[in-house]
Amino acid sequence: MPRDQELAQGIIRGDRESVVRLTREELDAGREAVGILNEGLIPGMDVLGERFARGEAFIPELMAAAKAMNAAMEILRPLLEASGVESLGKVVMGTVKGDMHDIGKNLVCMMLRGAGFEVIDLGVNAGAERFIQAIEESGARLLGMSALLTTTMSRMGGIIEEIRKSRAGAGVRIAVGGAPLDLAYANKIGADGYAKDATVAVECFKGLVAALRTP
Amino acid sequence: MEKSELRVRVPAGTTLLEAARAEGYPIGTDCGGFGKCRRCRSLLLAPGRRGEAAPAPPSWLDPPTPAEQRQLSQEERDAGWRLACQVRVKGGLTAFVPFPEDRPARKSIDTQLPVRIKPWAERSTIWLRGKGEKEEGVLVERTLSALRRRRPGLRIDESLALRLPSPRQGAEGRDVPLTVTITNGCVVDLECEKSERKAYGAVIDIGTTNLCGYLIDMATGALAAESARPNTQREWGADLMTRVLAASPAERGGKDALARLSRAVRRDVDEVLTDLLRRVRAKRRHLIALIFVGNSVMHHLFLGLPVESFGFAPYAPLRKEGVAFRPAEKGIRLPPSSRAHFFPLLAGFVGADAVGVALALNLDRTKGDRAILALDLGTNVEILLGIPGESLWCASTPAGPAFEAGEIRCGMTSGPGAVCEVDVRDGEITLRTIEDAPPRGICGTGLIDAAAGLLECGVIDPTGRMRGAEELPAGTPEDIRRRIFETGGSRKFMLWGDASPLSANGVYLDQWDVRKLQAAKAAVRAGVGLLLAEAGLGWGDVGDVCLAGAFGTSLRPEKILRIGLIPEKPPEHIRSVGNAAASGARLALLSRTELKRAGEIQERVQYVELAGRPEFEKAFIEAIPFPA
Ligand code: B12
Ligand code: FES
Repeated sequence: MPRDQELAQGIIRGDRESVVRLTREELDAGREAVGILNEGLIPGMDVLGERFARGEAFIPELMAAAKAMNAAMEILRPLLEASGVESLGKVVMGTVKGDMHDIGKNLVCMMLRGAGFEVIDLGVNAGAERFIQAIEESGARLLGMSALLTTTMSRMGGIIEEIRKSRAGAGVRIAVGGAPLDLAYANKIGADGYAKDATVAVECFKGLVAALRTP
Repeated sequence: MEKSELRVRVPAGTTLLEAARAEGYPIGTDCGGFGKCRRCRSLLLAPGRRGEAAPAPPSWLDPPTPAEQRQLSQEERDAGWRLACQVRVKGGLTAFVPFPEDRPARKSIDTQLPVRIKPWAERSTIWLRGKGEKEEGVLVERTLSALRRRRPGLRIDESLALRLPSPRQGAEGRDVPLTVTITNGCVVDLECEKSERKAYGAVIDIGTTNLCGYLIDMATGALAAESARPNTQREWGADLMTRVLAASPAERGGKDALARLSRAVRRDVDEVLTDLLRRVRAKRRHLIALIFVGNSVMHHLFLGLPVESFGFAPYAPLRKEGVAFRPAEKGIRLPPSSRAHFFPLLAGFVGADAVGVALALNLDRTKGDRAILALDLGTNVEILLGIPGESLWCASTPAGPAFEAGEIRCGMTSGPGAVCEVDVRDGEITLRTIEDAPPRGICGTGLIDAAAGLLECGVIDPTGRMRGAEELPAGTPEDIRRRIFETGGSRKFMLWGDASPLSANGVYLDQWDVRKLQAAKAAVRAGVGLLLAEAGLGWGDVGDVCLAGAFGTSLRPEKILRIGLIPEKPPEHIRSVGNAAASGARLALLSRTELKRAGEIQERVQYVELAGRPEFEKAFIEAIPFPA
């Protein structure tokens, strides 16, 4: 359907206005929200995500696309919920204590929201207590943690341990990310997932959701 | 044996990097040996004649580590490439190392800066008429009282009594020479002889990667010698944060972590000083005064202060004021009479070197009607802003290692063979390399030039994306088109040679290199923007832009404007100021007033903390694209 391609193109170009307009027009024409999402918006995001992974698109393009996606989701979310499509899950996300970097984490949050997750963003400088409190309050079973400094990265393991020891934190699936990390390090500190960039992060959290469902 | 070919014995269990280091043949690293930068990549070959050597048989080597699998493509691994910091060798083989550690780049100090010489340490000879004293020390006593008469308030260093020379007996009626060293109003040394020798002072610039030393004639202010060496601490990691971690007992370091890193840098300082003095054949005693500059972490590590606080928000130093000390107390082999000052720090990541830059450029007393912006471009970029009316502002912005070509696919430091200039004119590409040696890699200026050139001919679009050959505008010369290729999942542009992994001599620019440069320049541009806004200025209020540091020296203004490192400005307003940190330190070595001014700068400067500012993110993202 050419409209889907237009939607996808809108996402790829990060053209929020046209994405919102097209979404509205499709809904007015009687299209179901799920269809718009799965056949128009998500394929667009996939294309851009793939370009991002190869370095062909970069932070501004991904940011613009995520914003366009989120704007469309604002419109679609109530309809999706009404038709029984659940959110993919709640994610508590934050940059660890001692670290003030959040551009990457914000991008991950936007991408997760765009993909249908509900995100509780703790901002920067978050210690174990704040993570635990947020899990308690929200009942989230997914958690993401970001660190951009070698120093703060070295304390992530301790924070994960504390979260896991807490009552609310037991069984929560934790993904970590940030430039100095890699998969080996994530495994070493006992994280359940790791992603090198924001598009892989979405896949990573989807994987964790699946893992939660099949204990 | 060719220079980059290496034969070392590698004891079982050691990596090639460690073994080469132990043999005094350091291999270059950007990441400090953590498998993250690929600069240590080496071609391991079974012994054979040149040209027919085959990749080393797998049985002689441990299998590639995960880090090697990430950093090296399958083709490269098949050809025998390994990371020296990862690979443990079992049999005898030859390693071809394309990037041995480079000699530290020369950073020029400006000795033409005007200064009224009024040193805080001076050594002079006075003559006393001998009265036939017999008793030891009497002559000395008399000298001191004579001095005191001339300069009321003069103090005598307590430890001097212990070190007093035994004078030759003052012959009746003959004039006896005595050489006195007076530092900070205190007699610190006395020699019962006429000294023909000059008194020297030294400026020591402790960088994260290299140390530079400059020996200054205290009487004339002239440069007598210079010396540089790598910072031994790089063995603990290349970047500052890894050092911070390594020096923290609670983290990686262990109990005497801090002491070990301190000792390493102090020994380096000692070696630089030894070399400087050897060059002019002066005695240690003749080095009477020293000024130290360096970033805040180096400052703390040298002085032996804990550095944990730099690793975590608010990234603050333990101590900011200038420190006066005796080098002898820091394990430096100088007599207790030599005295030193470490310049104050302005913030966690605006160090003593920034104070030197401010002094050298008179930023605290900017004249005229426009502000002066100074940038010290490195992994961490210090931004200084001098505004007419004696106001001085600073900030630090983290660029990452791109300006030093760190973590760039074919990146190298500015050693022989580094592509340092790239020009694209009428579709023709010309390269210049350091010392005109055959191209081996690309250094920071080469990276900026290459990006500027490829933007100009349309290979890179304003978003920073590399275009495929088929997308290039019609009329693009064939020579440009055929240089574009794709391997390992990203597009590349061949600058020189061919891309065969075994040849090791292709120099190319990768799509990801462009991205890293974009992040670096965006961090600078955003930092400058926020600092100006905080100071209430716009870009139009800025007059000259000064580029400090080794890297700034070789940058061409048109190129940095082309990539948009700073907003539009006539190129003639952009100037290189060399090692301005050291130039400023020299002023304080020669003049008490300038030394005092260093302290005043620290008290008066207005520091703008970029961390925790929501505007940064927006400014950073907006600054990522290149000017169209
Ligand atoms: C922007 C920036 C800042 C900004 C941060 C603004 C903000 N709101 O975030 C500011 C200026 C505040 C800052 C401060 C500091 N910074 Co800084 N900063 C950077 C910079 C330039 C870019 C980081 C970035 O945002 N990248 C873009 C994003 C999109 O990428 P990302 O963060 O990696 O995120 C992606 C992935 O990692 C992943 N991801 C991220 N989080 C998560 C989480 C999960 C769960 C998952 C699954 C995935 C994931 O997905 C993201 C999107 O693809 C880098 C250098 C560089 N060129 O990269 C240095 C850098 C990170 N900073 C560094 C440092 C040291 C500092 C300072 C502590 C000191 C300094 N001045 O240099 C200061 C402290 C403040 C001060 N007083 O100076 C160093 C860290 C070195 C190290 N090895 O530890 C770097 C690498 C630069 C360098 N080499 O010097 N910095
Ligand atoms: S030193 Fe080996 S990869 Fe960096």
